[in-house]
Amino acid sequence: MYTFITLLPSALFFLILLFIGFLLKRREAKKRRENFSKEYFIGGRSLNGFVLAMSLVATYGSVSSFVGGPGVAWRTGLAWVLFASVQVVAAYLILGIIGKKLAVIARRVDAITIIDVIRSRYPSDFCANLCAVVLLLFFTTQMIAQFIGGANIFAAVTGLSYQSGLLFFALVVVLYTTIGGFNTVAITDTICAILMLLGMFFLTYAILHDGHGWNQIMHSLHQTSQQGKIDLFSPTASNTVPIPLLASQWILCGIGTIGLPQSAVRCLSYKDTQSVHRAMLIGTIVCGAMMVGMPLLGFLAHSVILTLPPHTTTDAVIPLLIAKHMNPWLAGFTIIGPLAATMSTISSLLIAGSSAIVKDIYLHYKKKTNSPAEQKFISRIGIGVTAFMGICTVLLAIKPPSIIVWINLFAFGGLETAFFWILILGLFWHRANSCGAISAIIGGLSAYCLSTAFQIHLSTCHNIVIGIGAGAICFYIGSLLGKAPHIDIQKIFFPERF
Amino acid sequence: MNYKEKFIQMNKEARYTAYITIAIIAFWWIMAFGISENAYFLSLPLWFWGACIGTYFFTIILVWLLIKFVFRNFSLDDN
Repeated sequence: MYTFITLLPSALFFLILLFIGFLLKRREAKKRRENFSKEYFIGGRSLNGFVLAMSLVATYGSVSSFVGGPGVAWRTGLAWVLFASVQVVAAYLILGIIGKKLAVIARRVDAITIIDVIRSRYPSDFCANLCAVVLLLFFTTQMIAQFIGGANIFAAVTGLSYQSGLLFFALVVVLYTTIGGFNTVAITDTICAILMLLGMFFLTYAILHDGHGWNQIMHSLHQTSQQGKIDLFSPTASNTVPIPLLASQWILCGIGTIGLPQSAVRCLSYKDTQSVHRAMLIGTIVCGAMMVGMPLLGFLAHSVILTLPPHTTTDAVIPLLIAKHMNPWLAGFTIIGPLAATMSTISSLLIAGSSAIVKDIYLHYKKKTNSPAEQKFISRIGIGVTAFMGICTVLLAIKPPSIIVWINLFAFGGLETAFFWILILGLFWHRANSCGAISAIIGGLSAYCLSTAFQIHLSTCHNIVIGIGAGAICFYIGSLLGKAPHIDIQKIFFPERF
Repeated sequence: MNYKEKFIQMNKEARYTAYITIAIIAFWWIMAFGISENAYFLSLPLWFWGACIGTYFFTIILVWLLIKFVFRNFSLDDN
């Protein structure tokens, strides 16, 4: 009975998401017949400011923002809230620096994926294919990690087994993404972002209620802090979060987020400048609230959950809070928050990953060999690949090979290392060329992955510093070693120089 | 705006976006580490209020100013 009540709101949520997928498929049928890729992979460039903002935030905010992060904050205290707060820039920064240029250029060269833009800037098939491979590798591992995280919390709260919980929500997200395409992903992302905010409010209520009010909560936290090894009220948590780590966090989760392809692709999808301006503001308000609010709740939860059960990690904090400190109805609604965070991230990764296979690899190959495909055929391939990718990642999440978990450690930083300079220098340095781009990807990724694998660090900085730093050096040297870009490319990307 | 003018404008917008980001980062560091660790408000330390809550509102204000005074509307398509 308990399980049924807790599952009911989620089931309703899933039905709504699926409904949107089917609805938009019918609405877009005509446009898909004319140009399938443009509609399915970039939604016909129709996003308004609100949807753009929410989709950006929902895609960026994942299960780690909702479960992992708050869990660490439970143990580490306010220092982790400080650590997470740098993400307040994650919404406006990418839109403000490259958001408009990407939109203008994408329309000029008719790009519907980030790799389309990369290919038009760096006319090297090797470069574009390398980007596609890196993107696919890290996107799939991230998707699997999200599936695992989502299934774990779903199982912990509802009492379902890991496999049942996984199949339940995973098949829903694969289905609505496959059927609905980009616009469905954007709109479901928006709903997910709203539900994530609601989930935060419910969690706040539960903590204040079970903790017997603010004063009692703070009293308990001060006591715990004084008795424990870590000062929960120190900005470095008694040096558990050292200053170099905080500094490098500004790269990893601050400035580096400009390089995330799953965020960058949204810059190709909005309809006018009013939308992107609005999205910068709305995105900041929502993203900041979530990125500060969730870890703060994790910290406050320490007054309600005093110790972790045996054989659990800090990942158990939020699930415990929902499962043990809320009545079944409230728990059922609150569980939607982390699920929404997971599903919105997965749907965006899936549609973007599928576009890399279908548009960037397959359709480009067909174009090169001068055998263009019919729209109906493209639509079959597009939907088929999305479904296939989705199902494969779900299957891998059932019993995840340890290599997947291992690669995922590199995924977030790896994507930033690979795409940060290629996008920024591509758009702002006329001398950037394919040689530099390829060097940056290979050099930067090698430096990042090898240093992480062999535990080589610069002080206590995150290795993103090594990755981005090596990438910059390789890009610069590589670009100077190669030829300057062709004048036609320069006229499109740097008209101010002519 | 013609194509060239749009890019000149967008370069300016990117520059100012970078400027406010530097300001936000500076604000964050000063609040987190430039304030006495012993001052509290509502049982939470002042550095937290400044660096976490303060940076949030500071960012919103700067983004709003950025959009109002630096960013311009124009057609994204080639006209």
